[in-house]
Amino acid sequence: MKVYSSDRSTDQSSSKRIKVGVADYAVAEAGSTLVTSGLGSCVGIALADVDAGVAGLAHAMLPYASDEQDGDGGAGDATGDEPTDDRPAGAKYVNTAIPGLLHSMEETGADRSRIEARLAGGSAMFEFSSGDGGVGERNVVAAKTTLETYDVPLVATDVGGDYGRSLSFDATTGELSIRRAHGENHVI
Amino acid sequence: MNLDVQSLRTFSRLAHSGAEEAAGSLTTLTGFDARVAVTKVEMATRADVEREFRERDLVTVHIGFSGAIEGQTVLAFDRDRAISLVDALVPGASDDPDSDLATSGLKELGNIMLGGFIDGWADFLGDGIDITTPTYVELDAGQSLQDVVDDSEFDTDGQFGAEVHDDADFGAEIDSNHVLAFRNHLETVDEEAGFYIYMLPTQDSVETIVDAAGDADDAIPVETFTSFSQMISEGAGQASEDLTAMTGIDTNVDVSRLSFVPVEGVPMELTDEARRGVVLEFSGTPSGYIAILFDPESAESVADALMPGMDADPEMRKSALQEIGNIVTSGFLDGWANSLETTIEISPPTYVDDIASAIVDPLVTELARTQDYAFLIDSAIATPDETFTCDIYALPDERELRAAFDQLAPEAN
Repeated sequence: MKVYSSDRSTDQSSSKRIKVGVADYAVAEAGSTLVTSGLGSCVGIALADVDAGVAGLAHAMLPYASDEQDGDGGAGDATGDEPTDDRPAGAKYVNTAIPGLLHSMEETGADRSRIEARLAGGSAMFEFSSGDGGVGERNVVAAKTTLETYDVPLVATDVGGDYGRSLSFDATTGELSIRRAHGENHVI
Repeated sequence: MNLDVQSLRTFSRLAHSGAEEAAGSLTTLTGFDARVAVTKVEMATRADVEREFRERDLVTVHIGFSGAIEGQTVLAFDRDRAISLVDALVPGASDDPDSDLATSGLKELGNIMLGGFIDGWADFLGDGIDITTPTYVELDAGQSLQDVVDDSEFDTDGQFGAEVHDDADFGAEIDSNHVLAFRNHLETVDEEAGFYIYMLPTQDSVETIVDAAGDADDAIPVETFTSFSQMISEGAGQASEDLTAMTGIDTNVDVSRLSFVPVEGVPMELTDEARRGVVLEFSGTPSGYIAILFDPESAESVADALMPGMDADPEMRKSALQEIGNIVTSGFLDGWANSLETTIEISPPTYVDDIASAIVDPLVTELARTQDYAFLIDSAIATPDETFTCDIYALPDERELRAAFDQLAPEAN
């Protein structure tokens, strides 16, 4: 019997719509579209090697895996490093999602030197008194820094603001379409 | 019986990997590319589960299990879904969806999917679990889960046969007013509508798994969860009364649920359509976040009801919704403060008009900094004539909620 795994890159045929969950990433080949919804302070990191026809989209919640270790049973401790389900390990954090996604893309045939990045999300919708705030902004900074570390050029961004975004990433063209609750779709 | 957070995590993981097995079988058998969207452990009452079945037009396949643990699993799908599945399994059979050929196709699917779902639990417990032959059940509005269980050809010996067993023991277990239900939502890539796998273990079986997985020091009597669920229902009831008093429109509590879910699963429970309402922060024991959301039509109806006959501008409508948010939140949380003998302070409401899943995303992200799983409280208040629906999502801090449970525990004993 075929065992279902999170490696959704292996059985993609043409013109498929692949859903990326929260704290999740997926790889797709040309002809497919990667979608993810409901980015608030989360960031969507869209990577593509258009020549190879390989694209990847990550939906990360928090900036750094190592920064968030502040409690028992919480994110970042022994249990926090394991995905709670079939989502790829490390997909919850920007600094681990990016290398994980790059690796999956290379396995699918992407060439690291051709991969370009687009970034969306990281908004500041609320000001909470309890949190130390600015998770959205910190997610954006972490994404930019991590992409730089891995020498991936960031070609376009749509970040910040005080509204949510849903994304649709065309694996053929590398175009990232951004939808808000109100107003026109925006393509970067 | 005591439950602890470690056990709940184990339950969640087992249910999720079981659901993945089932999704894999579904993909293999039908070609529908299925994946598991959300796995929830619900501290539900039997009535809650029944209501969910009743509200949707679901066809279901039931399989009982016994051995290391006992209970019932249910594979449920929308009627339209069932028909397309039958067509994939037995081409042509969907011409007559009520035929034996069609229902036996679904039963076979249920057998393989639910069998795969149960296997992981047997592996975890290191003991065998037998499953019964599948039963095909169409639920309609008049039928309760109890009827379904009674109607099922529940055969604890796991032998083939269509005898109807009057299994009084099993009926009694399910009859308890609270159950742990494992609810797995499967979806296919191209459609939101999906499949649900429910697992309803008997109380003894929950205890068996807790013994194998749990951390006794951390355990909370299961009655505490019941008390808390009760408290949530009462809070939703108060919020409903207050909403009625304000708008002059009769309202009822449609849903009131406590569940335990991986943090990233919370936004995925919500639509990516626009919702209007408010977000508030509460602090005390416990602290947390609450979102009161209306679909756009409901938001208009509520604002109209508050300002009858007025040609209100958008700013006035926004204020009206903020006021409603305040009232609903106070109604919802005041009872908690009383029961927990504490003070819960509520922040001023922040107005939102955005993608629903994006509205809860920052709330969940704050929690995700310190916890992997969240207790999600979701309630829906609706008018009988469908003038409006109000969805309430509350996300208390996990550790503070556990501290609050200690306050509830003596009451339960």
